[in-house]
Amino acid sequence: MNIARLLTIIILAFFLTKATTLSAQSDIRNDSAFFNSRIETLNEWLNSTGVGQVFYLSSIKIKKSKLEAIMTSKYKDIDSLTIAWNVLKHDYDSTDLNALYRKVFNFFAFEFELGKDSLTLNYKLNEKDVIAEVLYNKKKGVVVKSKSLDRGFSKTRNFSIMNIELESLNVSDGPVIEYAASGSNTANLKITRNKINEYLTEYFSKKGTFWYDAEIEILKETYNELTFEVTQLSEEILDDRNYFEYIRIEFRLAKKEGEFDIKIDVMGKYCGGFGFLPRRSEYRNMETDFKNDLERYEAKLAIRIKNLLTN
Amino acid sequence: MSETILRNKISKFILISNAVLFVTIIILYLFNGFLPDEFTVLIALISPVTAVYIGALVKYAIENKNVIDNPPNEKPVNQLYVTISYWSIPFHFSSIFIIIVLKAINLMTFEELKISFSIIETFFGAYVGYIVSSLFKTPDEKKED
Repeated sequence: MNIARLLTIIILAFFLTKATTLSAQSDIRNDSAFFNSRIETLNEWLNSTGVGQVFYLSSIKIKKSKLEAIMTSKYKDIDSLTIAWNVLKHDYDSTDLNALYRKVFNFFAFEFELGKDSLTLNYKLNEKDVIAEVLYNKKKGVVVKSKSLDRGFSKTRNFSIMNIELESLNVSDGPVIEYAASGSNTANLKITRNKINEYLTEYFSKKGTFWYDAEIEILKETYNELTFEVTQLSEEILDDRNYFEYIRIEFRLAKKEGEFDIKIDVMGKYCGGFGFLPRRSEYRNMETDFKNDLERYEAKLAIRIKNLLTN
Repeated sequence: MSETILRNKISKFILISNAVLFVTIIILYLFNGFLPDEFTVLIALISPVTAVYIGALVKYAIENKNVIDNPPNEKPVNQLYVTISYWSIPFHFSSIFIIIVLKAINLMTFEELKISFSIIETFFGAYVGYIVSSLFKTPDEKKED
């Protein structure tokens, strides 16, 4: 065998190994142990927020590039479920009944460490009947596909609905900044987005941990959305604890009657240890353990962004 | 080497190692090497191990409180016994120490720490128990033998 042939075989073998590794990396089934370990945490969160009064995460189905989470109703009849779920949706945001679906979806995607396009949430009354499917669409964002269940609801009334007792929700909702802006929508949205982008890039470039500088990544930038992920942070949200942190900040911009509304959502995770960076699977969600710190940070960030845009 | 000399050397090592281990865990915790719940679990994991060592040592010290000099005509212990007891206890302690430090500097997850700890205990726990109980036998226990 001559040297050229030997080299060709070695190069081919290298690329074949590389290709196999890359295809294995994109297969989320390899992380099924991690996803399964999140079920308990997510149910704890659902219970702590009050959503767990109606739905719990019963199982997950992991496909190559998609994770389907099954939310099963605690009520066994459609009448009770409809009433209880509507009460909670109104409690969260009476102007947008899909807001609670989106909140749960965003939290799940962050907890599962998945891109939103890799997650589907199915809300079920029982094994068979799906009442809503929540998924991500690149153009429309998080989409809720409600499905009506005819049988049962109109035929047999269930009088156990009279006994429904629900506690109010305890779901943190990010602040909304309102500020007046003149000019066309599109131009203003772009200017606003760019201002926020420049400000946060500059702000986080000075941050980091003792050993590492913060890494900033823009996960999504569309005409009305901007999502940042900042890793290798410390003492940013939990300023009295020297934990590793990483945060995801979402800005959703909307024009409303001569004003701009900017909705800010901050999601954060933390991990102990020092020296080397922890693995992503080791981080814990701040919303379950440090909800007050997270809300305080959101409020402070909202003030800073408002000052930036109005000055 | 006589059994008393070996026992004295190992006693000193056990006392110092235990102190170092606990102080290290506390220092690592203060530097956020562990989260509070991890720290609690870790202490619960380590306590039975230290209890085996310190418990036997303290019991022996109490039972022999009036013994000042080495027993006369003490039989020497063979090299195999010396080697096993001289190396297995330090190896046991060092393994635990290393996995704790690896977790604190994030080269190991807490789940991996628990698994490694179980493996170490499976391999060493029983043997170390034999050595400790053989070394720190009280006079009554020796008579029974």
